[in-house]
Amino acid sequence: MAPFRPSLSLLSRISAPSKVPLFRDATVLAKPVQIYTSPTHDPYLNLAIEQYLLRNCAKSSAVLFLYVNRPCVVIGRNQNPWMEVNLDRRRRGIPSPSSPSKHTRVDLVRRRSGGGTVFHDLGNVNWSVICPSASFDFDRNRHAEMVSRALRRLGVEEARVNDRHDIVVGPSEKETYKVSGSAYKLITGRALHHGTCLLSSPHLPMVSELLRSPAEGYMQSKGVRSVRSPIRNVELGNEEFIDAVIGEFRKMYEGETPVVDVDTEAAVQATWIAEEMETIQTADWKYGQTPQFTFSTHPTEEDPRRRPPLPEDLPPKLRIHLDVRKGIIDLNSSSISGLRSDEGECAVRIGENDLYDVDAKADKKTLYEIVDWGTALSNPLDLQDPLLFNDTRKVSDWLNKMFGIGPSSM
Amino acid sequence: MLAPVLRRQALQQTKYARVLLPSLTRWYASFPPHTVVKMPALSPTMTAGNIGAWGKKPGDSIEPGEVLVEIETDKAQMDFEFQEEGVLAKILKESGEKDVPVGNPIAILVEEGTDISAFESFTLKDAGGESAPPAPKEEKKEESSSSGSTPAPTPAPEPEESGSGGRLPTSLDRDPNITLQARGLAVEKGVNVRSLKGTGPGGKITEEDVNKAVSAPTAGTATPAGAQYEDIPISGMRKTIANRLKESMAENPHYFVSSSLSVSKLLKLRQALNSKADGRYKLSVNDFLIKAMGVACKKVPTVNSSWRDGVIRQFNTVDVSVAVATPTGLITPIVKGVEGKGLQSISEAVKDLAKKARDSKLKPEEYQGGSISISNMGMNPAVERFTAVINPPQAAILAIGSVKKVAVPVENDDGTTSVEWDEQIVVTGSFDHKVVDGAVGAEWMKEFKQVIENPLELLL
Repeated sequence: MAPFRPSLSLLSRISAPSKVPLFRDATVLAKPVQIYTSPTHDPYLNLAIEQYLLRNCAKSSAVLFLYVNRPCVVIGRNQNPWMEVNLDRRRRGIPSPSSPSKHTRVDLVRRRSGGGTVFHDLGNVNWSVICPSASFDFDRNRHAEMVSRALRRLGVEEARVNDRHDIVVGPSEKETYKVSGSAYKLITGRALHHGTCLLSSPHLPMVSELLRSPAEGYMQSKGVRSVRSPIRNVELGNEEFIDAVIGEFRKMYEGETPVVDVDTEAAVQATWIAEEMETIQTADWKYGQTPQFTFSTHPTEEDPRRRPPLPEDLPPKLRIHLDVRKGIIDLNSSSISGLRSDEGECAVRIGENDLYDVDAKADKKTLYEIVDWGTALSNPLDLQDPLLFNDTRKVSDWLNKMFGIGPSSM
Repeated sequence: MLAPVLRRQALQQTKYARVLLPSLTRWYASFPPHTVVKMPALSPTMTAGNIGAWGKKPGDSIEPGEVLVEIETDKAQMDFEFQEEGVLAKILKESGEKDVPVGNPIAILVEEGTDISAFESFTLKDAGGESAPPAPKEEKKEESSSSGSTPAPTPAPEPEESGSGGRLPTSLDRDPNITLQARGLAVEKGVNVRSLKGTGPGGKITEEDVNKAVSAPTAGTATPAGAQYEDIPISGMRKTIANRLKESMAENPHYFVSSSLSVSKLLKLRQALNSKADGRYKLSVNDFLIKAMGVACKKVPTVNSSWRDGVIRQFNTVDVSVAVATPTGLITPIVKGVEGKGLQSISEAVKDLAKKARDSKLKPEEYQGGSISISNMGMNPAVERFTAVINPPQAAILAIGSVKKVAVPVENDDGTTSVEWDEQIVVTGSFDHKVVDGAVGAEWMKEFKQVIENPLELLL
């Protein structure tokens, strides 16, 4: 089954006239001030609606869009999911606070705006303002300030915007907690500024683990790195926050603009939105859009840092160096050697003998299509050699953990 | 019989090709004609960006408005839409390259039909090289202040366009799809071109659209009826100006040296040169002043310097930032290497830059940098003299007042004194005491006065 490779259409999809629009009445999108909320918790649908609004609302309009997503990790456009997210933990889900044996599914989402990695869940509200790009040029903190004001009106007295465009609370400059992060996407004449707001997330204790990848110490990436900050809930309800933000927006953009709750049935039918949703759910978008990176167990010329020590049960002479571009391992510049713990070098070329993928090209292997490093590494002959087989199994288990591969990949 | 026809066709085709190529075409060494695409300033405060995904690969053709490459800077993901037609010949900066300074070459574009395999060996050096990436975050303040040029004192800027307010032109909107007449009309009526939707062919904005927009209300905060004041939103440009000038006043211990210069000889020389011009040039007093600044800076190079972290950078060339008033605000394009330029080429450069500034067609390298500034308010007869704020990270700026007729005592041959009319201007230099000591500033002023009052010394 060939994977879906939209290739260049993954780039900011220019709005062609939509075959089926979102609103039957197109004048809705022409109003100078618009406010929308979304009843769905589907992060892909919400992001697609947001992009649709960015590309279709009148050029001089100011638009507010508020939405809540089910638990998901959202990485920035140019980030590296293997480096920013503990994909193994994500795959297994996070324990539900009320019943820790039950695990809640966590989606991995790559958004179109820049910036770093954040965690969304039902206790987090996302606010999004779309306006002429002159507004971005003039003050890119304008709408973060607006949300800060909303928080202060609700009693969060020390809410303020810091120089990373985050909203923080905290008694002093030395002690701050991030409650909201921002990111931007600009197209001709229009700017999208969106941000999160942690209101009452029950999963905060898990976020630290979720956003810390065990592979980080071995990787060097050209992607955008997240900047970690301690986080906190502001302890407010979703409804009151949403109302307060709408109130501040209405003050800023005078008028009693009505709030339109997006009809998600219609949204899913709108051609552009449906296509966008499909695109951003593909592995090619989520993983294949990763800028070039390397993963190596030992210092290299380009990356001479000390590496975290390898687990003791791995073969002592193991050396791995992977060169990955657009999520594809370049086998010509990658190598895995030292798989045997006894003497005798046994360099293995990945992919040549993948039992599952007879079409594997000799010089490339798509990292995010590997379902088990064991089959990617093994040679049918190894299965006969118990020692090599065991060692290969240990190495592949470790690699699977590093790259978040395993059963029930949600 | 066919040959002359074919030759004529070939000639015509070449002419057509030349017209089609943008004026940025380079005819460089052994490579076919090409355009160097540089990292754009996609917002007035942008100093560098990370290259994201390329929308095209070498060999692909690109239409105006298509996304050439995605760029990320400070959490903002932006599409760089190239506004001209062409074919991508070579990518100089791959996806993932970080902190590429604004103005550095990132790709090569050629015309349809050019052989792109010729560019396989093209390197950054062939493109003109690159400037060093901006210093890390701690020093970012200093670096960012040298981008987005601002004038020193801001005489009330010309009325800004309604709605968006003034801002430096960005690559995204350098050429909105609008007819020339409509553009002129829009500027006249103060309509924000970017807020218009075109109804002409290909979505071009026509005069009709502009007129319609004039009658339609613009979106934005309206003041309540009968208000005592009006809140004008602060544009990016204004904010940049505010920050830089505040910083300049705070960081640079300014001191001022004024001098009354006799420009009678200079004006005579100018008249003489202009009368022989035959349309080749028209020199202005400003051109002489800029040239004189170059001379003075060569004689007193301390003034042609910049306070950097740990060093004072003394420049070998004199690049003069010239304040120009445009419809969107004040901007200071740079005349590079004035010490090596004659009056005619300085004059041409200033006129060309001023025109580009007014048409919002200045490229970042044309307004970022400079080693010294000049601000001329001589066209305003009410201004006798004024003091200017230094443009960081430069160390000096010269403020020019208007020409006044002054009565000066003159000793006659027979020993009697009488009065003569002299034409004088008062210039005031602002110097950064960190870099330029009082005596040095005075020395510079002396050299400047010497060459202005005896303009033939420009030949020396």
